[in-house]
Amino acid sequence: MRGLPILDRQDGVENLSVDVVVDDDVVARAVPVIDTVIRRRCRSWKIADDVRDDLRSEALVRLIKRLRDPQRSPIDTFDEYVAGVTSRVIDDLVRTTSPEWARLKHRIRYVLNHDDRFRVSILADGRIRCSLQPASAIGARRVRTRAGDVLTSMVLDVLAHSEEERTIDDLVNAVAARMGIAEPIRISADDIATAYPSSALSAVESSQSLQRLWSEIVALPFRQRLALLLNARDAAGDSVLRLLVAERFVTKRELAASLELSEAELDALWNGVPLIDAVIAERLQVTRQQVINLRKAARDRLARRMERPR
Amino acid sequence: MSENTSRRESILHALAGELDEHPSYEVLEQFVDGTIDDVTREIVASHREVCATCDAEVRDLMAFAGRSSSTSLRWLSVAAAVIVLSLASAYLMRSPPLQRTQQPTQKPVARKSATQPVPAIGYGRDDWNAAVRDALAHGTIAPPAILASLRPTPDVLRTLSSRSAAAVMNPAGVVIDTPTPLLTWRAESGPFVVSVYDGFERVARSGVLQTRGWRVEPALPRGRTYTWQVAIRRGDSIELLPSPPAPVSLFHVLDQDSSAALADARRRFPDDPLLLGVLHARFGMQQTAIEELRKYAARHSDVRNAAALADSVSSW
Repeated sequence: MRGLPILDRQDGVENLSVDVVVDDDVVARAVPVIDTVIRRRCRSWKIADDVRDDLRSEALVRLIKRLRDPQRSPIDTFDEYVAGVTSRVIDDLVRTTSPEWARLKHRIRYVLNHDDRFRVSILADGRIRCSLQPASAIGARRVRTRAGDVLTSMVLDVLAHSEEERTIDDLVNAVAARMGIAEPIRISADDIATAYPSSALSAVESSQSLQRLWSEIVALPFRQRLALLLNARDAAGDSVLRLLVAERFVTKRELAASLELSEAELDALWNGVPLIDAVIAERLQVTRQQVINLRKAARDRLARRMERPR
Repeated sequence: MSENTSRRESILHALAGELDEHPSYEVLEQFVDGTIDDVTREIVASHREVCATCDAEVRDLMAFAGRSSSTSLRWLSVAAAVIVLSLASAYLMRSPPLQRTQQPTQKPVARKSATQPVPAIGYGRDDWNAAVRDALAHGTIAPPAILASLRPTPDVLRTLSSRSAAAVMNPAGVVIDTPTPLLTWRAESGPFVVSVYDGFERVARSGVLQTRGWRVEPALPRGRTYTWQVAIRRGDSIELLPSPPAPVSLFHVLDQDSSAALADARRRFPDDPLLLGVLHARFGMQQTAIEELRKYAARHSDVRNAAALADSVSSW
């Protein structure tokens, strides 16, 4: 066995330690949950076995990435988390293969959440169930647009003819059939590559690319830029800001400008970088978790930007 | 591998990042409804710029929900009036524009500036006009009395235990507009049962839940203050959230008139963060007020007291 035990039972709660080493047990425990979610959600769609394998792999990749991220908070309930990840993996695939169906699902979810004639419950495995309930006389909530009226009528009609709660996917399928929107019936292996593009890092290999990366960094929204740069460190833990200056990719003046600091202010920070998130949070007047989210958003945006040919 | 290449790779690994997951539906919905916190709003907006799929989905949902503001003909019809009023407001404020140092960076707000409305003091309602004029003149907005009744005394809030308890239940200590709020809490595994009280009378109760969130049903009467708690079964015993010495979790549902006024303001002036910020502040909806006023300050750095207003509300 490669890793350490990942589950620490405290008072009946499963807390996954953030510095845990992912081992085979994680995979062994996650796969049945993943497979159950895939089977339930995709039961009416024709999905080849290799696509199911790819869905499972993508869910595992995201799970392991999450477990290895030392900056993320612990996971409360492992199975629920795995189910949620798997559901999002399926959603991403459907968004690629059947964007109309995916948008219809969003609209229906919006109606369900904004109209008090509907009852919505979320099961532990992430499935969403919906049914009708008596409308309240007080503060009737509706989506008050023409498109909202039309869709709401359809949803009301479908649910009125259902004897029991329906899952959101079933409901969307029923409404999609009435509207002539194609279900994501057949999903091929080619769709997988589009839905889950890999990181763009391999495309970035020259010093020119690094200059381009820097130009994208200075175009980031300020808080994302600060959250990224002030915390950035190399494998040895040294600040990337110092590396950038040492490698002469940027001057200290440019660096200060990018952080919206004077050079004197940057000098005062210089020996303290990389800053921990709590310090950055205080500087930005946000929470530590928000700093982490801002940095993740920055890294994601840079990856997507660098992916695009110019 | 050369040393240069190695260093370059170190930099790239640290900065160039990895693709992250797209924003969830729940986040997109909050973005469309304008109920999201300002950091997440920035993250979603930034993501939309690089993800055509999410951008299309948000635009579709905004149009569906009737919240699209980019091409509103209604806005065009009032634009001329706003321009005239802006001249009046500029005269009223008579402040020289701040000299800002040129930054090499771009912010999204800067790119949007051409389409932003200027501050108006003619909203067609005397109470709105007065509220905005007072706010700009003084640079502060006083907290409404309702907030004090929703929040425990400062001494209690300063204790570590109560602070952490307040952090695990939402909403708590706030005014909300929706009569069917989504109550969320952080706790160990359930099952949970949520109860909402008006005084000593229980007015809503969930079923047995396995999830850590429940939307109140039926809709709560407006203009009332509610307490809520979560009962958690632990074997043979029941634990409650919040648990002493944490203060009770209180929220107030905005009264019908105030809610209608907010809806009217959002409908008629969807892109006027000053008015929306001031009104939300007046009604005690602090977080939304801060977000709107910060938005206003970012767009109008040359207006005296623009930044001070958000700070004033933040300090409540």
